Amino acid sequence: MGILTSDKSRKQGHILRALREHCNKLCVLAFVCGIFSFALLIHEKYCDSTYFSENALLPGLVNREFKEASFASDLYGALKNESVNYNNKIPYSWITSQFRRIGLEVYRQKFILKYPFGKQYKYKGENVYAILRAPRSASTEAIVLSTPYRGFDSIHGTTLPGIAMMIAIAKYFLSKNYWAKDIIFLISDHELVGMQAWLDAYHDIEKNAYSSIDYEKLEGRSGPIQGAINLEIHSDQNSRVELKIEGLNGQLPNLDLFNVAVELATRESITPTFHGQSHPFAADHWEIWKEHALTIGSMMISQAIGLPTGAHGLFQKFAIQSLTLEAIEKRQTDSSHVSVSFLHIGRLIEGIFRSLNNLLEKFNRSYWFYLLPSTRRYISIGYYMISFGLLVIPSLFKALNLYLNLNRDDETRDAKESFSLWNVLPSAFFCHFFGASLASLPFLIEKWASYQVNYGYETQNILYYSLLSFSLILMLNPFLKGQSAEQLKAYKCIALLNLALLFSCLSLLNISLAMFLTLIYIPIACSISTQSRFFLLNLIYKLFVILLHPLVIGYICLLAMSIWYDPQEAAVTHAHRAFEAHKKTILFYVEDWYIYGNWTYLFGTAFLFPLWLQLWYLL
Amino acid sequence: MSSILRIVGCLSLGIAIRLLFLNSSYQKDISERVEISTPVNSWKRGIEGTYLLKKGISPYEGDTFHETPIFLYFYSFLIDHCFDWIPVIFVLCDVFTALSLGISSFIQLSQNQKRETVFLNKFKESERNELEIKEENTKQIAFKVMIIYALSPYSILTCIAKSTSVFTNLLTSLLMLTASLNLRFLSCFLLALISYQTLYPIMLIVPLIMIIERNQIPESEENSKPVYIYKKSSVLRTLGLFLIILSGLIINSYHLSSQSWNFLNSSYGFLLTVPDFTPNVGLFWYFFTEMFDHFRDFFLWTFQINSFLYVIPLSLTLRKDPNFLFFILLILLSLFKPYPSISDFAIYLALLPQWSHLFNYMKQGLIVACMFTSCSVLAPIMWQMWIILGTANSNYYFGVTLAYNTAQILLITDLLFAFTKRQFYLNKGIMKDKDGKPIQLELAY
Repeated sequence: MGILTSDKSRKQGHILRALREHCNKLCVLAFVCGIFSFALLIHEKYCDSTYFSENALLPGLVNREFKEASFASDLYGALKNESVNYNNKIPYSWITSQFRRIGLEVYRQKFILKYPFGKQYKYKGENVYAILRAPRSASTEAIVLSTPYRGFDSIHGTTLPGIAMMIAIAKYFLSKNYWAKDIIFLISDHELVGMQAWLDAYHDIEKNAYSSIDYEKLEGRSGPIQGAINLEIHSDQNSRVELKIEGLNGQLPNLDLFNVAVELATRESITPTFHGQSHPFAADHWEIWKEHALTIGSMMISQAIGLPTGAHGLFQKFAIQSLTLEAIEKRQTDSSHVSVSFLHIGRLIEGIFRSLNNLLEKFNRSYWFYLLPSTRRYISIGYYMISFGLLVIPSLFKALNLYLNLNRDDETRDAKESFSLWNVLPSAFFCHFFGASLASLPFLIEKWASYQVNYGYETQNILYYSLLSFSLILMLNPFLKGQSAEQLKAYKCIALLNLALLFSCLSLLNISLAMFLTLIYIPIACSISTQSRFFLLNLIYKLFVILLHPLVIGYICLLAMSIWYDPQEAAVTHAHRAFEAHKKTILFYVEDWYIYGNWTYLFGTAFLFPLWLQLWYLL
Repeated sequence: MSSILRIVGCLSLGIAIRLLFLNSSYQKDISERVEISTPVNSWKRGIEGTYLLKKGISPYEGDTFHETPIFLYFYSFLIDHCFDWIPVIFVLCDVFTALSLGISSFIQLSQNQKRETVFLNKFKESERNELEIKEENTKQIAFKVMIIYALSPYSILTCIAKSTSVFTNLLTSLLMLTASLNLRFLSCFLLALISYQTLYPIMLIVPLIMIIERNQIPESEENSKPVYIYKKSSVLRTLGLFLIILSGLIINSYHLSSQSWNFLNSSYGFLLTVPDFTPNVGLFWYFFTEMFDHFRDFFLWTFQINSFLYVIPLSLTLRKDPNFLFFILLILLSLFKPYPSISDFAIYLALLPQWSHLFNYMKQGLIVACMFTSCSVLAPIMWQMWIILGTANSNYYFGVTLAYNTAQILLITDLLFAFTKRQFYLNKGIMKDKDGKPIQLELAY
């Protein structure tokens, strides 16, 4: 109870005094420790090997006997010929007849995508799905095998082999009597849109005036979906299988599902890769560390971007564990003799499905929060949160330091009103209010879409320039700035607390984004000094804070990407290209928000921007 | 004049926000939040109850409606006769709550301030400055109380969800107002109505009696006596009045619900035996879901005794300031209720500025404020992760509610310590050691 009753400031503890006197050193120490501990976590010795926490999965316990590979090849040939006539539309009649011939129930589902902006075009599409009813139980649970339809000339690589594979698998599955869960074979139209329409219909999501996808009800249904595997097979001769797990808003599937896929792929002598890397075998720790760092870095980037890497990303929103198996086509130049044929992939899928079939209940262990340095190693939330905490804590230290010093000054001088943290509230409130109004900008644009069409403005320009001008106006706004030095200290205290709160909340939803933002925000936010006497120093601080603006961060990322992909181009070309891409990307995120519920735009405007504004008003 | 304009401005802003959200598509989502709507205050259940009533089925037979018959008839009156105006009625109720909270804390503060002048006159100028509740501040504080209730997100959300706690809060604020205006009958009636509706406020009878008794003593005599001696007859009159009205209300409900006592079991029984484990911001649900069934009775008693027990020591300690006792009991109510919601938080949050003269002596203001803020942000996130995304589990959400309740406990203890400390200074003067620093105070047994 000492903390409650004790009154003596001398006795108040060495901790608080240390915080008061050595705050800056502590901040730097914690931040550096955070970075080092994360680097250490990637090291082979300190990250855990993956294991199966759900024993019911029993991967690889049974022999995998899939032998319809030649049937799959035949189907692939036939489908290729068929799809040429269909001009990028799904050859519905062919697919339905194939499924029917095997003996499955086949259904189709129409949907319309209402594009919310501009001329508000409507796009039509139709999904096909077949259901294999489980012989061992009433249709109380289901597993999904899905693939998006991409014609033979699609730029993303055709998925026709995947569809052929799916039909062959269906034929094989139907001949077996051990299924305890229904299996749904789904071919979605228009990539993710079709998937979203189907999932919405399956879960009977209420349609309202705002929903941008209008879909038909499903004729055939089954029980709750326990797991889903999404196929992207581009060829009949492949070199390896890439596992993709990052879903919408950086959500991840249960680690067990990933482990099952890795384990079974290895058993079929397929190389499972994650972000292009398989599990490294090397004697040199440093080499392994580098590979781990590359893999985890690329995973974190893809998670931070918040876009699904495949159709599996949409399932996760409905609490369905799912991942994408992408078979990477074998190139002519590949020197290795390893070749992954239909037979191997079929057996891999069979194995995964039999494991899922064994599940007695939903995946229930808490392995949803992890980072993967390789296919066989993982860092669980318990470890990475320590590093993350060390990265965030400087802002708390600094805020406490400011608060304690505010109080100490109280004793010597008369209590002034401007000291109080309460007086910061109106300013903080207005910052958040502006953020919320920025977030609702797309609704306004949507409402006045007809004017926009009449005057011939492009949606992306309207959105982009209004965001820009809005932030410029707010930056120049003198009213919300703190006046006295003490007031500015209080502002800074609140801004830092706010930062810590935002990032720690974000870390629960999307650790990678939280980590990256912390890495750039915390050092700058902690080190800027309010009311610097030197004009130049003040200018430098301002420059740094401008670099933290959400729009600027986005621009820099795109610029870096452009330079990464072709370094030869001139700087001006890069700048211009990134500028154009920036406009498109923002609109793209807004569209994603409308259609799938991606919250990156919402986060950037309604949560990150107000904090940035608070930081800006400190200077 | 300008102050009236400010009041009107703030209230109309509050009204505008409430009406805006009440008519938006967010209303439904907000009204389904477990932090706001509990089984005993959700408007949806109110509608359900009136529907059953109209169909001639007793609403107390099933597990849908857990409020009292008089309120049921009140809701059914609202739904039948002014359906279109219901949002407006909810908003108006909130406005009245804000106003009466503001007025009552103005009155109470002025009373307190007058009482303390006797103590303060003994002191030197500098000490007086430190301890005094400044007269010019009272208006400002009353304004703050009002503005916080009108604009705090917690009361706004409660109103948008059309939770029936809006009425309870209105009655509570009116109770404070009538008590400080020394209206014995009205305040007894209001307290009886509140206790009849949600049972737990029954313990507010203690501060109410104390407030009324203290108001009886003429101000001139007040400080001449070291201890107030209450007149027995007057205490009994208040208590009797309260009990008569309460029993009148209950008997009336017996007749309203067609001569059946079923409603007792369905409303008070529901509160006392806690059969519903829907998560909320309280402590009961998690504890009782995790517990083996044969310990249930024991812990039920323990929990329920907890909610009432603290009235006794608190009323002994705070006998000199019943207003403060009232305020502390409001926090305790929100802490130990089986089905608390953020509406309970909203009302005492608004009243906090009234005790701003204690803030100087509080130690954990920042910690408590940070805890409340982070809980408010984390609760929806944890809920999303647990229920919708399926990646977290109930422990995550419970962790947040636990932190919320810990923050409430810290707030209570901190306020109490600050209060006793200030009381000590008022009696003994500010003692300082050689260096001119305040000496350390310790609580002795």
